[in-house]
Amino acid sequence: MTTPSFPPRNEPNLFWLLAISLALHMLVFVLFSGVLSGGKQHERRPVYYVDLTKMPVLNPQAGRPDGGPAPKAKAAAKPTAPAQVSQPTPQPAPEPKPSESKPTQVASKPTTPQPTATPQPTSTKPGLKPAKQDAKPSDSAPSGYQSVQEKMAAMRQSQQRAQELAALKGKIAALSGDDTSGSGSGAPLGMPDGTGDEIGVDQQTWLQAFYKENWSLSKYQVTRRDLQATVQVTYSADGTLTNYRFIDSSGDAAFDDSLKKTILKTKTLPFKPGRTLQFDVVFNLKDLMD
Amino acid sequence: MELIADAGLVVKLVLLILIGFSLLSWAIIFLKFRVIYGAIGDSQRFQQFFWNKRRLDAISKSLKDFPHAPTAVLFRDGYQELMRNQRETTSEEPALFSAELGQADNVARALRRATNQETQRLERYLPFLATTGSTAPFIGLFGTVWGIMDSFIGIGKTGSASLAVVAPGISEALVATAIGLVAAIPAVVAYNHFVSKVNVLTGDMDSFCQEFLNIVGRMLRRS
Repeated sequence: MTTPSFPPRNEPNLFWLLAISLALHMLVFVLFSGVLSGGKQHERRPVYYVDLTKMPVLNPQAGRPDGGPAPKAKAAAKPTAPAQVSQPTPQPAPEPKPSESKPTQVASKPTTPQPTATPQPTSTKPGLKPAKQDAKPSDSAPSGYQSVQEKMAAMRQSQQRAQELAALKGKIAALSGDDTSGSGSGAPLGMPDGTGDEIGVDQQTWLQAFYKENWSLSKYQVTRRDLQATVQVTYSADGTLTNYRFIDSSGDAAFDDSLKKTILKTKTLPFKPGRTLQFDVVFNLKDLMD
Repeated sequence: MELIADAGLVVKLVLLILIGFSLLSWAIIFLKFRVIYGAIGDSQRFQQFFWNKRRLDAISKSLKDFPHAPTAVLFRDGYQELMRNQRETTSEEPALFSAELGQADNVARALRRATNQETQRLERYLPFLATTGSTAPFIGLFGTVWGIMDSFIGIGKTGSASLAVVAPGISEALVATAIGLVAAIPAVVAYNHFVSKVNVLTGDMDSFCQEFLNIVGRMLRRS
């Protein structure tokens, strides 16, 4: 008889089990911390600066909600404007009439900003024409061919100036933010995700900007800066506030009250949406205070 | 996540300790699950094999098929002791009755020793689960109390006692208790479960010892 053999036990290594345990904890942490679903939950509309004097549209076109050109475009537009204004300066200085003072005024104006300079070339036109007409009788024997040529040159000049004037007017309108045609120097007025053909921002963006404009709360009334609340607002087709409710309260009574007051300021919209409007508005204290 | 990030240093330390407890207790739960359920499965198969075979030498050759069975270990130790005694008696005069009784006692002692060893092996690390289950809620509670103390100190400084001021600090502090409970509950459940399974295995081992001693006693009386 021999002594029985017994194989060594293959008990699991505690180190590997610790690694498994760590992986399990990390999985639980990831699932419950909202990292996976965080992108969907915290997806918020960016805060746009909207011109509230322009009413929103139903199907906004693709463009920028602030409507105006980008700051870079503005900076680039400024030096070009005087250059274009200065163009007419050599032209309205005809040699035969050095006595006229108006062309010199135009020549001196290009240094000043564009809008005041632009009317100047037009004022020179009537001045030039009578001068030429006056010159005719003074010349004793001008040929008919020469006079026709001068007339044609004057006409071309006036046409050219009219074109330049129109272009300048367009640029000035674009700079002042009145360009709603989309052909200005900046991006056209619309929404970044716009697919429609109407010029303007959508109703939700407009309303958010309106709420921001009308919101007020003293910084001494809130104890924290990281407050955020989500409110669902509903407007009827004729623009009347029918319902609002807090989906997520901020937990701060003063902040929530300020939001209620802001929403109640818009019991009736200044425009008619044409359909029932219902959307969630995220009020972030940091955004509102900016 | 923000609650943890905004918590104070002591609360964060408490949370770290609790996470360490939870990590270790889950590692032990996995370990014990494999060890105890492996032991139960192999033990059942070994006992079935033991009662079917009836020949001790044949059984001893097949022990490697039941590596996790505690009863197989008992059999090995008892059988080794029996063989040792038999070798000693064959070289001398025919054994007396008192000598046979001494042999049975030796086997019984060997079986008792093996039972203790196996019980210790099965119960290893289980006290840590009991410790986690009993202390983790208290550690969490300590973090909560500390956090609430901090919160009240803040309230005293600001002079405002509105719910908006009090609630965030308390909710941050309560995270410690919540994590303490998260660490403790699985540990307590697993501890109770594994202790009951170890008790079953210990009962099996005791029964097997009695049966094996009976068989040894019958063999010695026959010889």
